[in-house]
Amino acid sequence: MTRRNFLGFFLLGGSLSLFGKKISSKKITGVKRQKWREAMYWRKKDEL
Amino acid sequence: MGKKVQCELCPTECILEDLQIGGCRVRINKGGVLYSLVYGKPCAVAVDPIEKKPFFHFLPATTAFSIATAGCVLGCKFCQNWEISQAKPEETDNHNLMPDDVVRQAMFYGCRTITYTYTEPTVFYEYMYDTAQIAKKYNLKNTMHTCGYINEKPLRKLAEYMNAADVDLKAFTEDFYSRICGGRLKPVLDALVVLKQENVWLEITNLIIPTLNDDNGKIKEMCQWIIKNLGPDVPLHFSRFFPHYKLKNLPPTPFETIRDARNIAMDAGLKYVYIGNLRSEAENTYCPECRKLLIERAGYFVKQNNISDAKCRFCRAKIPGIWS
Repeated sequence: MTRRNFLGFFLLGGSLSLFGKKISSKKITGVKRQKWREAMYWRKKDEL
Repeated sequence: MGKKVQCELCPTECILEDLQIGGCRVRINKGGVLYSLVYGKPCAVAVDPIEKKPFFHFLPATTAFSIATAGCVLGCKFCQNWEISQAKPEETDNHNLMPDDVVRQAMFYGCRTITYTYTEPTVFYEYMYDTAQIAKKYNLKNTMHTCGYINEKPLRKLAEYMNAADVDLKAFTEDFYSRICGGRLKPVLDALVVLKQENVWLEITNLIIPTLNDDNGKIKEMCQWIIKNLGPDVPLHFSRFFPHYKLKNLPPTPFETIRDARNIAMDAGLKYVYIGNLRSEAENTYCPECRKLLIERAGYFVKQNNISDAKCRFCRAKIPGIWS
């Protein structure tokens, strides 16, 4: 790949990522990127 | 103050002390709060033909972005993926792939579907749920291959985003579920009914294991239950067993056993009965009205498809499924 081609792809990729529609889990599900996600179905045993 | 919690996801409903991990190996009680240990940590990621799941009445000849994490709610002695299903998350090689990454990757690879599969997706419920929510927003379909061992409440919530489910109905006796899988049959039957009620497209897989669940009487009983509770249109896949994991002492299922099972199912009234893990013309879909060949398959590949607008191209009979 020539330097010119590389530069072309670099600029094209950059533009697409800037203007493309972003997929964000936080925006859609309200969940932050976290390692340990709190489980959805459980209860405290003391409350049983 | 006690810090005990009870998981309410699957029918096992583990009660966990502080820092104790559930029977599924992937849920921990930390300080009185239950966490998933596998969120965004799939150990298996692949692009598969949808036929591999198996789905035969769902977007044929398309690909599914398939993910799984470590862990399982059952402990089947014949598990084909026991290296990951019966492993702890720290014992598998995991990717870092958050829900938005999964959707992005699926779109990048041109997949129409995201499938939660290989191990039991119930164990990575939160990861699956969040991913399915995003996928739906971006017009991707969601499917799962599950053992159906999940409580009603989480299943109904998940069904909002799930387009199709292939449920392993492993046998039709409580004894088999208890001795061979470490679970119960009743919750699985309940889950099948819930999926039907929630309009999730349903296909059923039954792995026939010599001497353990190959009784013709029980197979007939199972088919009658399916027809009565789910209807005759539900595709049923009889799958051939190969020696695996803790059942290496048993032989592969003889062809005659599977052929007989298929005949029993069709005689009982099921319209779409397939044979898996074995090459035969029972991999194909035939029109129940005119009997003509609709979808010709060779393994996971579709050679011809004569269904258009969800109808048989020859007699215009409606063929149940999700075709576009």
